[in-house]
Amino acid sequence: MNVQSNKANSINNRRDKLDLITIDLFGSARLLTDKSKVYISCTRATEIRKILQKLAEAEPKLVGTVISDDGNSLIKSFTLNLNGARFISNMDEIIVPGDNVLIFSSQSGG
Amino acid sequence: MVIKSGYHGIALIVDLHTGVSELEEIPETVLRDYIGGTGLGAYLLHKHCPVNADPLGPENPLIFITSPLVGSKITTSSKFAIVSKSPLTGFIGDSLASSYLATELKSCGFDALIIKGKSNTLSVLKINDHHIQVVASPKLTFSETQVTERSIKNDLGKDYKVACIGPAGENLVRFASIFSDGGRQAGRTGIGAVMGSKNLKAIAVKGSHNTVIYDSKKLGEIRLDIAKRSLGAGTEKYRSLGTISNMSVFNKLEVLPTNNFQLSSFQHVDSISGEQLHNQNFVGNAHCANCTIGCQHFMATNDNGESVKGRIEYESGFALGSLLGISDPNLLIRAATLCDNLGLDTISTGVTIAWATETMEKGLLKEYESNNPLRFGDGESLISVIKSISGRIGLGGLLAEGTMRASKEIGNNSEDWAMHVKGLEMPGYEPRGLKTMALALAVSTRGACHNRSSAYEADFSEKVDRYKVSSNRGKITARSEDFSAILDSMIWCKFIRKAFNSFYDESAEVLSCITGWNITKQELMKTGERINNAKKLFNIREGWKRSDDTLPKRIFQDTLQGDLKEEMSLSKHDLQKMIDSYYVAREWNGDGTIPSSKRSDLNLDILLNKVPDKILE
Repeated sequence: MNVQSNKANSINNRRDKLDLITIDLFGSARLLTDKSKVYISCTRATEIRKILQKLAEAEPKLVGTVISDDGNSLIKSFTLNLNGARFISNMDEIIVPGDNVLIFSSQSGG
Repeated sequence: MVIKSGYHGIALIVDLHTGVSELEEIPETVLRDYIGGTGLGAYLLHKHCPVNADPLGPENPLIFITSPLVGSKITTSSKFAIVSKSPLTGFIGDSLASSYLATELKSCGFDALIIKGKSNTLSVLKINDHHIQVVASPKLTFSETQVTERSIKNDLGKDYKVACIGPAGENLVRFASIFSDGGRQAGRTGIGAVMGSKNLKAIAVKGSHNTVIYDSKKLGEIRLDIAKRSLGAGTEKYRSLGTISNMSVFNKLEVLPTNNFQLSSFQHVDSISGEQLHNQNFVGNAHCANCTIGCQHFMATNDNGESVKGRIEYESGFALGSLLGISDPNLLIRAATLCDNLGLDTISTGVTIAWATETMEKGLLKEYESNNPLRFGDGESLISVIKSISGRIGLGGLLAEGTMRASKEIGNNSEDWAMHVKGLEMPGYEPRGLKTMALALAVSTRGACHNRSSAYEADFSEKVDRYKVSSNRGKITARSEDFSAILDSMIWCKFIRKAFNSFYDESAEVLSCITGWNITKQELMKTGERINNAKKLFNIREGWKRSDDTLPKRIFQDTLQGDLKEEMSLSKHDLQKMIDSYYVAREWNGDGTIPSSKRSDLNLDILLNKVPDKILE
């Protein structure tokens, strides 16, 4: 069996700092903020909703367009993935410093 | 003949050799069982394609089918299907396009146009209601698609709607497409080559019949409601950036096929991502016929070369970008637009060139290297290779046969990295990181297909662990295929599927409103199942075997390493387990054939009256 590596070409340089949550923005979320990554300070395990609230404060253009008006969840057009591995809809789930949150369209495929 | 609400109940059959046409009634029971689009197309293919017909021979019918939604003005409804026996797979081939051609075809007073035979010279089939004329058109020989459409409209009048092939179809490139409405492509399965094999450059249609709607008042209310929802959260991606926005997401998730599926992420993706193209190359949106969504995103080149403008979808971006290691957005726009103009499916074109690139890098194809030096990441030869495929010149002559046949001819294990299923080239979904999609690609009746199910949706959700195989994948895939069969038969655009609150209930209501039938959700679900079984039955009569439901060898032989996952792989054994679960979910035999009890339950035996029994045993 051959082993073929993405690693040499990877752009997925996750930050090693353990006091941050890295949020990757895609699609219109990226266009609205003109940012592909946003870093949220986080020193201990916390619910995703609290991270979204901090994201809403840092990037107010996302409120109502990507994040719900109350800041507690994503609007229906968007989905959240943790570390590229797991899709999450329960915003009470706990994430930890160093985690990578991805926010992109919930309309998969095309 | 009684005109049924939502339908005409008629197929127009044209023999290009004799120039004779006839009308054939389509029974109401058939319309209800197969609806329209790819479903009705599957029924008509069974009926009109002789067993073991040569896909590029005159006996293979080329069938255009509309649907009950066409003419209803409900959003996304101006779509048509084209069904034929595929010259790539030898199995059922179908493709859809959004176009005013759909509404005009239906206005001619029939639900399907069945084209048989072969014209003696390159011709245009002119249809005005039920009147047909086969017009010799030598001046259109090898003309590009846009030029052809313009020329025909100039000659016949702008109120004619045109579907045509480019030089690739005339040259019988096995993955040639059919073009309409200034750029809409029915791209997959090589139906453009079937059209070319009939010496048919184009059809031009104009009609005067209205579609009768059973309950137009209620349909009007539904139409407004769905139009409103089509501008909501369920279609945001298609409106804001289009499908090209998948590039950066798939890359991050390490499922973006790169360098002929040797990698699953592309280090230069930012140069050709949807976000980047939107910022640097975007020049405007457009809507398909009778559609409120506006998914078409036009990109223009911005370098010093010849200015080119075209639509860039994800599948074109993957196939002509990351799969070839190409990161130049201007080259990507030029390559995709060239494919459209020549009448080539961008997916099959890119995947076939990716195979050639790897084969050349491995030291094979030496005789072609001086004219067409192919290397991943080097796009210098891309444009000339695409032209050579369309013209069947040099290396292009080999590649015009598609990945499966080209790799068989070259041998030397090059079939191991020929990325196709049943002969149809792979779309932009890495099966080793998307296990539900791996199953769907393996079992799809039209080969490596991303459109006849939305199985990937499970992988992009909490329902499954996308890295692991599981026994529920069979049921998920079968249900997703049945859902898509209804989408593709009514015909809804796939992009509106998330705008429904309850797809089957709402679709049943719409269909009931149009036809006057009392359709239920349960009936519609069974219809979806029937359509997929009908397609499978066609493949079985054409020689399908269980071993055809598989994936390219590379998927089993090579393990991918990534940042997210140490190793991504899929063993043949694990795929077979998922295929078993799919056959169980379909209530098929262990060898993938359809038991007589299932055929009877779905009323499929009417499809088999010309098929020798031994073929089905």
